[in-house]
Amino acid sequence: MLCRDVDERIESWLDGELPPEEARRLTAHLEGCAACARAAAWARTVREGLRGLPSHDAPPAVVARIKAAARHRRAGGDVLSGPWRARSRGSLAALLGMAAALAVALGVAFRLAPGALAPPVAVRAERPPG
Amino acid sequence: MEAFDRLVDECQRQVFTYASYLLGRPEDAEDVTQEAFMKLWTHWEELDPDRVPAWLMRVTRNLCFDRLRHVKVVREHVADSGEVALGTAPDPGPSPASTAEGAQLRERLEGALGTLGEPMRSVVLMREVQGFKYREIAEILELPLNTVRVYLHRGRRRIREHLQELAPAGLGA
Repeated sequence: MLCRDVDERIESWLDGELPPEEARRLTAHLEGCAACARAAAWARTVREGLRGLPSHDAPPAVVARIKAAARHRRAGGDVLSGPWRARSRGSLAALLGMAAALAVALGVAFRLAPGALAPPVAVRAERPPG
Repeated sequence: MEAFDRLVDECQRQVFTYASYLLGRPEDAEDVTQEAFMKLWTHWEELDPDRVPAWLMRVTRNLCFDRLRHVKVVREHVADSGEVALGTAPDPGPSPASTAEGAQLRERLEGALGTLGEPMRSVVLMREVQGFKYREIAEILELPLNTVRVYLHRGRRRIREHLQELAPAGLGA
């Protein structure tokens, strides 16, 4: 294998993608060629350096804002469906149950005290002047 | 809702890191991260759950380019725009690189990454920094698998060339 061949194959070799026979010939060349061995070591250093560059978590406040915004939009009336329905069936059922319970409670309250749900302005209108 | 929250927790790092490297400014990356997840929520019902992460990264990439185009237009019209940094790496904060040499290499690597054109930069960033698999990168960038491999090899080579003066003496690229 020539130095030029090593140069062309060095990335594949570092990725472990060279066929075994080619990899064997390449490593044999590296053992006998100081320049190619240095080039291979440098390629490895750069690659490891890239892999050591930092990843970043989004700030917690941003994550919280995203979740809150999604909840807000959901409260606006959209109901999950499609492929996600199965995963959300439990929470959807709970939501519908709460809505039904609220409707029953309001109905009972209205029957027991029909005036209780009237707007405050009506109460003020019944007061005597002065 | 729980599924969405879980996905936000799982993918926020990938989205924010990618946007940070492409945009350079953390506040821009924050905006793009939020926009990307809101788009995801808007299309939540229509998406195949298995393809959501790739879709999300694709949307993030498009939002980054929209923002870069917008900043470019602003820069062309505003003379005093020196504060806007395009495509440079974010402030990395604490890093495992403890030596001055390591810090210098890291800084130069981030700079070299920023010099690569697209989609080469995204391929190198996703593969080397973010650890995506070739197949995942191909899906995100909508490229054939072999093209991803070629871009990655060329990208690494260009970065080596860019850092030539840091290489041991007597070395080719």
